[in-house]
Amino acid sequence: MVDHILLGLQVVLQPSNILSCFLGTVLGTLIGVLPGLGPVGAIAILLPTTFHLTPLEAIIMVSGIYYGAQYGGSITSILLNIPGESSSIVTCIDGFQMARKGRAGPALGIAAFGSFIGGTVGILLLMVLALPLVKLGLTFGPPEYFSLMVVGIVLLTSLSSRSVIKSLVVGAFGIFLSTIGIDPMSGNPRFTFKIYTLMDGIGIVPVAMGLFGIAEILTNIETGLKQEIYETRGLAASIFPTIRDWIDSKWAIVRGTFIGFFLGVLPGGGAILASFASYAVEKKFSRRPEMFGNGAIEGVAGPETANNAGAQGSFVPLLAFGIPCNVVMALLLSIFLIHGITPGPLLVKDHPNVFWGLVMSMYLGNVMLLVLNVPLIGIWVRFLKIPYALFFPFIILFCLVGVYSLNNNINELVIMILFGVAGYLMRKFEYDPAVLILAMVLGPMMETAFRRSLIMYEERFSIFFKRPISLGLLILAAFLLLYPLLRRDKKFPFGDAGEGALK
Amino acid sequence: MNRQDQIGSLVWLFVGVFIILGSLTSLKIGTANDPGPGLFPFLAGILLTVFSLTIFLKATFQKKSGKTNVRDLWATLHWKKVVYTITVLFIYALLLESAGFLLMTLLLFIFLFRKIEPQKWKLVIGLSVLASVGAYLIFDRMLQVQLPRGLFGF
Repeated sequence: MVDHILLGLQVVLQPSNILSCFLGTVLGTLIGVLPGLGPVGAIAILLPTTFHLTPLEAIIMVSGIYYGAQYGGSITSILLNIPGESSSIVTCIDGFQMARKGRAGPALGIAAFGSFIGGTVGILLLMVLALPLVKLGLTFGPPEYFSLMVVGIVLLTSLSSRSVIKSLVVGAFGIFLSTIGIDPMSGNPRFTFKIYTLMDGIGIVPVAMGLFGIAEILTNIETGLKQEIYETRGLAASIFPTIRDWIDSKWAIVRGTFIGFFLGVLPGGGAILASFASYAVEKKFSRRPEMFGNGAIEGVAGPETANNAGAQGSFVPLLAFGIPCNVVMALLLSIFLIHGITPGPLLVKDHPNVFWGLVMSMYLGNVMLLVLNVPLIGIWVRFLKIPYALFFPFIILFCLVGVYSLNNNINELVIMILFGVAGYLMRKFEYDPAVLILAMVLGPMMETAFRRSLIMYEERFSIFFKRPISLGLLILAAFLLLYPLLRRDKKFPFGDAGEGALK
Repeated sequence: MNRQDQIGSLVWLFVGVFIILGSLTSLKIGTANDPGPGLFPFLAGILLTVFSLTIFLKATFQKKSGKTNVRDLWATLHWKKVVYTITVLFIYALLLESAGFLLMTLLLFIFLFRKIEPQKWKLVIGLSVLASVGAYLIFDRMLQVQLPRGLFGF
C-alpha cells in the first residue's frame, strides 16, 4: 500500500497534474456557486476540452469538478436560500436560517471544514474498500456484469423522486438509443435511417449537454430566476466556527462521513442521496430537534459532510467494477473510454499510475478546496451577484462550441438542441433525464455482456439464473422494483438520485 | 384521470412500438444461443411498450388528480421565451456554416440579451461583441477548434 501511495504522490505532484487538479476544483467551486448550472451540465460542457488533455489530467480535473461542486453548492444555499447544487438542497433549510441570524460565517465555515473531513475520510475508505472489491470483480464473467448493471439501472430508477415506472420508461429508451449505429458484433447498421451522423451512434456528449445544459436553461428562463443576496460584509472574519459550534456538530460530521460514504458506494447513490439521508438522521438523533429549521448548525454540518463523503464513495463502483452509479460517474466513464482506458478490476493492475494518481489527487484537491472556501470565500460571494440573465447565454455558447468541436458536425448541434427540447419536456412531464444518460452509457456494456453470456455458455437466458452471484443480483433488482409497490407511502423520502439539475 | 401522464405515455408507447417493428423488420433477432443485432433493441422496445402502457392505464383509471389538463403545465410561466430560444438555436445551427461563427454568435447573444431577459442596449452590444470575439479568439485561435468561417472568411 505504501508503495502505491508514493507512486500516486509522485504522479500527482507533476506540475500538469497539479494544474488540472487546481482547475478542476476552482471550476467545481464556481459551478457549485452558480445556481442553475450543476456538475453534470458543467462536465458535459467540458467533455470536449478534456480530449486535449492526457487521460490522467482529464480524469483528475473532472473528478475535481464533481467534489468541488459539493463545496461550492453550500455557499449559494446558505447565502441565497437557493441550492447551488441539488446535493445542497437540505443545506438551505438551516444554513439560510443561520445567515438570517447573522451567522452566515460559521455556517459557511462548518460546511467547508465538514466537507474537508467527509471528503478526506471518504478517500481513505475508498482506498480500503476498492482493493477487495477489485478482487471480487476479477471473478465476474459476462452474466455477473450484466446482472450488476441491471441492478445499477434499477437502483437509480427506484431512488429517483419521480415515479419508478416513468424512470423505467426513460431507462429502456436510453438503452435503445445506445444501440443506434453500427452494431460492433455483427457490423450491421441499426436504426441509422441512412443518416451518416447516426452511423457512429448518438454521442453521449450532445445528449448530456442537451438534457442538462440546454434543458436546464429553458426551464430557468421560463420561471425567471431571481436572486437576492443576504448581507455578506465581514464574512471572511467570522468564518471560523466557535468551540460551541464544533461541539454541536462533531457527531453530525462523524455520522455524515459514514452515512455519506456508504450511500455513495451504492449503485444509484451519490452525493444527493447522502445529504438528504444525513439531514434526516441528524434531526432524529438530535437532543434539540426543534432547532432544525431554525438554524441548527448540525443541520448544515451533517449534510455538507455527507455529500462530500458520498461523492468520494460513488467512485468505488466505477473504479472497482467499471460500472458508473450516477450520471457524473457515467460521464467520467466515457472520458476513461475515450482515452482508451477501461475502468474496472484491471485498472489497478494495468494502469496503477491512473488509479493511484486519481486517488492521491483527491487529497490534494480537498486541501485546495479548503483554502478556496475558507480564506478566499469573498471571491465566490462576488460571483453570486452576477444576475442569471447575464450568464445564461454564455452557458448556451459553451454548449454550442463544445458539441461542435467534437467532430465539426452541425448535425450533432441539432441532436443537442433536440435533446434540449426533450429534456425540457421530460422535466415538465416529470421524467428523470438522469436515468437516460446512465442507461445510454451502460447500454453498450450491457448488450455486450448479454450477448456474450448467451453465446459463451449456450444455455439460453437461464444462464443469468444459474450462476449464484448473477442470480442474487437479479433477485436484488426484482426486490428493489417491487418494494415500492408493497409500501403504502410510495414517495421515496430522499429526493432525486443523481440529477445535477436544480430542482 | 391524469391527462398529463396519458399524453406523455402515448408518446413513449408510439416510440416503443416503432422500435419493436423496426427491430423485427430491418434487423435479425437471432436465437437465444445466437443473438442477432436486433435482439437488444427489440427487448428495449418491448420494455418501453410495456412500461408506457402501464403508465397510460394507471393515468386513465386514476381517480383524483390535479393534472387533468396539459395546458396547466405552462400556465403562469414565460413559455414564449422558451419557444423563442429553441427556434433561435435551430436557426443558429442551420446557418452556422454558411454565415460563420462570429456573425451568428453575435446575433445569438444580442437576441438572448435583448429578448429573453431584456437589458439596456449599451450592455447588450458591449457584452455580445465581447462574448463573440472573445469566444472566437479563445476557441478558434488558442484551442484550435476550427469554427466555421462563413461569409467573411476570417
